[in-house]
Amino acid sequence: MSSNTRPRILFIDDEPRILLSLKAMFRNDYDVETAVGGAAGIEQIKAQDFDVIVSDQRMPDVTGVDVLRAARELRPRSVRLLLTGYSDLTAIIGCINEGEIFRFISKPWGNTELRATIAAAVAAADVVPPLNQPPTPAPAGSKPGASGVALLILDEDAASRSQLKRTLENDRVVYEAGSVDEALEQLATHPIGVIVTELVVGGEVLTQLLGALRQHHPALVVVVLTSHADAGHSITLINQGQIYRLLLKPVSESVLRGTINIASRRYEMLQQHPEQIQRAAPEPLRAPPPAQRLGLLARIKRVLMA
Amino acid sequence: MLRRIIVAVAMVMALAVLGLLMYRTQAQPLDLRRHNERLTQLERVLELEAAVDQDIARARLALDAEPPGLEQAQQRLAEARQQLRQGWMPRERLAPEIDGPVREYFRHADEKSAALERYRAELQQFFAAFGQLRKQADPVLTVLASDQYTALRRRVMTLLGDLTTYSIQSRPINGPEIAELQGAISSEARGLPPAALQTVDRLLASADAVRSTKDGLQDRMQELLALPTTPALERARRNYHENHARTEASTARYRKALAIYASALLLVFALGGWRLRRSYAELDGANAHLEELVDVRTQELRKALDEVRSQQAQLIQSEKMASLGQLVAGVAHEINTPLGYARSNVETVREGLPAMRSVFDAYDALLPLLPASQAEALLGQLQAARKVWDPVERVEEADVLLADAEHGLVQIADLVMSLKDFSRVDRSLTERFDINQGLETALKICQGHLKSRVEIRREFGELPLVPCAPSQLNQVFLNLITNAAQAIDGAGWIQLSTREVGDAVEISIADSGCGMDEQTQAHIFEPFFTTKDVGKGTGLGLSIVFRILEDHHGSIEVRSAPGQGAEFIIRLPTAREAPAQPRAAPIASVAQDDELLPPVPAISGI
Repeated sequence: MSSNTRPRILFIDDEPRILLSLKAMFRNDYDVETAVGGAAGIEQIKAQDFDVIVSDQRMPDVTGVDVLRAARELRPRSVRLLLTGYSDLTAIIGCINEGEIFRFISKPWGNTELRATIAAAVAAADVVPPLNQPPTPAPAGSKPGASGVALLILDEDAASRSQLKRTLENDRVVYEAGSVDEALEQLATHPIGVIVTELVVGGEVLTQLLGALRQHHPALVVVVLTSHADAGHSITLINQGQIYRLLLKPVSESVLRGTINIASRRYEMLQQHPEQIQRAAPEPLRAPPPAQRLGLLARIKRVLMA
Repeated sequence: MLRRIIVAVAMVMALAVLGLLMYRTQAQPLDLRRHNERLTQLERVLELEAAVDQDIARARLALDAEPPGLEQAQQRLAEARQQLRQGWMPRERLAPEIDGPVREYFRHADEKSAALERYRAELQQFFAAFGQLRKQADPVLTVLASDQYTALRRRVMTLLGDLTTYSIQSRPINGPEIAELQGAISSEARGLPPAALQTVDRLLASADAVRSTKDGLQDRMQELLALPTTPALERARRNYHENHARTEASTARYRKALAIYASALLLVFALGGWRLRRSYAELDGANAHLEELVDVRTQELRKALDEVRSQQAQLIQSEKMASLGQLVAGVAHEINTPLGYARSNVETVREGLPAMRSVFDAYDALLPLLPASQAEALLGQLQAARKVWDPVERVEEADVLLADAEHGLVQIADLVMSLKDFSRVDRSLTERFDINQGLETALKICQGHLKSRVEIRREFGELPLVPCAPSQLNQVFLNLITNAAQAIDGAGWIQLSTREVGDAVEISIADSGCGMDEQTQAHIFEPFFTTKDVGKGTGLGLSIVFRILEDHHGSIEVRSAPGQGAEFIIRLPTAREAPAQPRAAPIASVAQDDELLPPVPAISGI
């Protein structure tokens, strides 16, 4: 991408009026291309390079998840967003894990927010991912080279924790935490690269905590392994936490190992290329958190800045 | 049927046997009277026989006249015999061993009567003879009064004495002496004068007559006594006694049998009665038990029914929520898409308005620079056009209109969001929830019910976040607010108050509606209880509320009186523990490997 050309954005939706609307909104600032329907979108992606690709989820021919998965394979540099009126959990998890999307945008959108989101996406797209990365992870079960990356397991259920630890500790150092406070302690005292966490700990949904963690520990790779997932929280996890993977319990051992290995490599990559963090920057925390959380955030800050 | 017949026959037979035995034993008293009569008759005959025999014997002692008792005794005997005949020879004969001797007796009795008649006749002859003798004795003794005939006289005296003895004795043994004495007298008397001799001869002749009649009498008497009347009668009596004893014995046997039979029968009846009683008792017990059982079963059934009803209610509710979720999902998507571009377009156009304005301004600035000749026509057009659409006013107006449109679209978006929030189709999670926010959402959904007639009063306190299933709590609030609104006829108010009490949150939803009586209050949380018109309400609302709060370990109570509104007070614990949820194992068992989730594809982009 050359600096004298404007950023290129592709909007994909089955409703032409949406596309018209978006085009009217963004054509002053960007090179806007539109595609009616998922198949046409994939064709466009194959034909041209884009900085940002925004797709609707519910389309009659190809779903948004499929479009974004294809986009990730075809154009790894492109930053992917989902613009949708309504999505079920499966679609959202698919977008997180397979589409590695940057943001979810809800219809109807506010123009201001959308502009900000697109601008963030364009900024993320400025960072070219390292292409020399080995494309495939080591097969599950083999000894990976990821042993240097320490892992933290956060789950209030001790049985779950120990089971996870048994599965994962062969390849790496594994720390455990049964509560948020313990997790913060562990993060403060050990160089942890990957965190595997339940979504609900102590009756509390950790979306905000994870968002805050990412604000202060941008290189931390977050894998959420939960039995409590729902669509709303998943969207928040991506938009504010930029979590790396979202897995539903129960998960097969091989999938878990594979996921953790990839996550570890991602952490190493981020260590080597700190600028890549930009590609996974979460939204800045908007609403000031409730008073009771201030103490916690202050603590996070203290712990992580130290 | 057969069994019944058998039982009936057995009963009849048992009663028949009983009757027979009764007859056998009850027939006796009549017989007993006759038996006593017979014995009396017999005894009397025997007694009279003896009396007659005695009189006969006594008659021997009489020398000049028959004793008066004999005839009377004979008379009485005849009567007694007559009675005996009636009693002992009834039309139906008695047993032969009795009848025989009786008949024998009567035969002998007849003979005896005849013999007795004869005896009495001879007795008269004897008396006559003896009288003759006595009459002739005096002249003889007178003749022999002189001393010379003293020996003869003595002999005559002896003869007279001997004859008297002879007459009195039952078996006279001095017959030969008398004959000798007579011979001596007649030989001695030869010496007497002829007159004296004549008298002596006459005396001797009388003596012979006395002796012969006495002998005849003796024979008659022997004959009489030889008649075996008494033995026959006694045999009859003995046989009769034996017979009676036998009858008695058999009756006694029957009686004994009757007693035993009756006892047995009684025992059988008692057994039957006992069994019947026991059956009744069992039946009573069974009845009581049955009632108990029925009660228990009814209770169980009622409980089960309630359970089923409440499950049904829940099922209906969850089904309703699920379909509502589906609906909302579809509607949300369908609305959100047009809403998306409509809102965006309005914003975009509005954003363009200042630019448009500046374009107009630029044109306005250009106008005076135009040459007048060319400008005339254009200016006229422009003026006309500006009269219709004034750029300054109209752009401002457009801005206002678009702002309103945007406002309306934002409102629609909010409503869709509320619907989505309310149904929470995409939010199943138990989370910490802002109750005040939930109440606001419910109020927004309820707008239709409330309109402007109901004033909403809020008294929201500062609340901690409450762990709950927000969609369910929204349901609770919605149901309660809807009910409150429906309870208000015309204008009124609904007051929503929240406050923190200890480690719980208290939410009060009060209304100025019609209220309810205590009886209604007792039932409002039951499924399918409704005060609304048929078809207006399902009667599920408050039961769902109750169930949801139960699931949240919370509580609800109602305070109300007819005409004084109602207040529902909800308490929810704010304890950190969320309602229990089953914990999933983090890792699937090996058998399920790779089936539940496809492996995450390899990441190539980083």
